[in-house]
Amino acid sequence: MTAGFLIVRRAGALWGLPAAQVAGIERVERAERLEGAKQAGEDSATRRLELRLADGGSLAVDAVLTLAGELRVQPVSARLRRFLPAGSAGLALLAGEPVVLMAGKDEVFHV
Amino acid sequence: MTTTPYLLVRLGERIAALPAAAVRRVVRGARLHPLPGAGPGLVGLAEFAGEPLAILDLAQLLGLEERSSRPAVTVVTWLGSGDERELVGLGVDDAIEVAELDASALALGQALVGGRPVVVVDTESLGVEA
Repeated sequence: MTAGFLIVRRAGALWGLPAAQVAGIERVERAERLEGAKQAGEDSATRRLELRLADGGSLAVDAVLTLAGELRVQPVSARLRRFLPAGSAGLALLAGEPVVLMAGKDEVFHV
Repeated sequence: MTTTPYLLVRLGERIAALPAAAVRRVVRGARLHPLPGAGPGLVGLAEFAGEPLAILDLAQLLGLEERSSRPAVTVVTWLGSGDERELVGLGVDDAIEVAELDASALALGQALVGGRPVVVVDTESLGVEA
């Protein structure tokens, strides 16, 4: 992919991942037999998105929102670093909603 | 007697005082975005004046009792000084009034206002890990 941040929603929050770390996006379907569905004799398929990462890993997200080429990034200060998830490199706004920009994929997904 | 204006805020049953000079705005009902995976003390993120703003729980920063509900009021405050000065939101239960505190009491970190003890907040060091 190109420069900038891929903005995704995960666990209700917006995260920005360096686009250069993302090799692709895949929709994954998994059949899950839910208790209610079992009684009705049906399987329920859950769909989710996974990012294929440049290093071979993958990452499940709730939604991919946009590729943000230009974000006004507010670096995370030493004071705030301990409050933010590990790996948070900066904060930005996208359409008025805060985005946590991650330095690398390893840190994003321990949330 | 030298006095300094402080914003008194309520944290549960306690009262804290923030230097008025460091306070930029008091916002009620700010739209908070919780951040999963954040450390204790971070209430969430918000937008303020076109910039992202981290909202910290003042009671937790001061080591007071844990909050059971989301703070109702955000006091947008400058923390730190010089090049390291930054704007954060401090979540509190309410903003009460601006009071003049005696400078001699401030050094102790506590003051009395109307006979009630008040925790005086040092916004230069607040949030810095000891």
